[in-house]
Amino acid sequence: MNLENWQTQLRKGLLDIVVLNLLNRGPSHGYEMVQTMKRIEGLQIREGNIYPVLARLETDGLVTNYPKPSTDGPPRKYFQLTQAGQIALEDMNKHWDQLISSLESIRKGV
Amino acid sequence: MSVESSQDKNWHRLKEQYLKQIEDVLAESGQPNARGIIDDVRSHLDKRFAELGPQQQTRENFQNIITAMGPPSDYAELLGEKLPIPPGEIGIWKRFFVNTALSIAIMAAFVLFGQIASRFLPYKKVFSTQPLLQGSFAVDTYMTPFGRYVESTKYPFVDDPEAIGKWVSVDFVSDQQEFTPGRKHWRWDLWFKGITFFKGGTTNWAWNWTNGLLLHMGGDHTASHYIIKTIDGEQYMFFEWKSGYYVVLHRKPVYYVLKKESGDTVADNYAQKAEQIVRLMGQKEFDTVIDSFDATMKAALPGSKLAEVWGQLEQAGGEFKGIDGPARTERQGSMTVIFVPGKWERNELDFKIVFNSDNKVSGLWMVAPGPRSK
Repeated sequence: MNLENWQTQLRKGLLDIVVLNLLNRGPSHGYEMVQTMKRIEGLQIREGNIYPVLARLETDGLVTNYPKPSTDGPPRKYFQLTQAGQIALEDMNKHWDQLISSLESIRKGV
Repeated sequence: MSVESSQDKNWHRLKEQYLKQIEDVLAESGQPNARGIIDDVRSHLDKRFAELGPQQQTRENFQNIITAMGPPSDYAELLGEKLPIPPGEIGIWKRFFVNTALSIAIMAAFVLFGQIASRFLPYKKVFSTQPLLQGSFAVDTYMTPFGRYVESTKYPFVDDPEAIGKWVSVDFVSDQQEFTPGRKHWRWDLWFKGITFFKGGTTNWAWNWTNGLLLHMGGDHTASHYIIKTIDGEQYMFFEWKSGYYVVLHRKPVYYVLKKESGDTVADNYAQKAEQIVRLMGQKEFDTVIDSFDATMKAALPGSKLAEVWGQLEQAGGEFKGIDGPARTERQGSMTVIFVPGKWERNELDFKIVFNSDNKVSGLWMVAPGPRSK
């Protein structure tokens, strides 16, 4: 098994829930979210990864965007959660907690 | 000026080349959002370029910016183009479940395979770690043919009276020096809530202990060093958390920090142990339950008999729903009696569990429910 490939796939699989949780803190733009995610140890995403994820979440109706003037360049595209996004995120977080708990139970032999 | 212009051109060429590759990949998959994504990536790249100082505008740094963006194929993949189910027919939800379930399944298969293989194939010693505590043991770490770390969990029992009692998790740090009492370093919930060290080397988890080591007997087979420190008059235990991060990814173990709980420690220990016995019965782990029985109890109530009794309880009261409140403790001479409130679908009863002075169960009864405080 290629461990590196597995880690990459795992990180990519988690991007949706990571991005939605970041937006749950408040509206943000892609560049800002990338900077936050780069500070999270172990996540190690590629900077470009966020844009297709945001585009897909927008197509699915979970996030929406609006332009906002920027002091250091052209207006920025800010993303925010829709109501459907908030509901989906709540369920995703619950599901994730259950998965982690189940896996830890298996691993710790409890 | 001419140098800057030349570097500007270099950057422009690299950037456009990268954007074109993304465009091609997205065009192949017929992605309607392609233009918006390319605009976003362009804006991101411009921002990254603007952050470079004049001295940093080198071809190497430009290439680093492009590399950090990830390969163009990622864009189509992350849009879900390669998923087996067309995106139009599957919501974010199902896609999320499919992705995470696959990831977990791969992880579980990897763990299982590694464990099975480690039983049959030779593995080599990779390093030793010295004890944190004087008089404790060094730990030899081996690597299985599948790259997992495993450690022996067989060490002689050496008592550590200071460790006995209930410890509650207060922090999770990568280095012991990071810990400051009263200020939580770890921003999120602590998954591991705490542990109780019982006399004789057992705990309320599937772990044993000996002086300076917590021995994970179950799935992972690891031996975690621990050390107890007194800080501002309080006792804290630092123990190595050897999760998949260590076992699989070979990162340095991080530390859970636990604080010793004061109060009636002995009573708390017994109460926790009694609750664990009830939980194990609820999970129908009868053979594990009888491990904590004394010889007389083992003869009187073997696993098969305990299973039979449990079946009768469920027949009468329905499915066992769990512990229904905190345990009560009574002292009777050298014996400690714990009452654990139990709840079934249609019934309530208390488990009366008696521990002898050797920390073994010498009596187990079902009695009428006592007062319930929740």
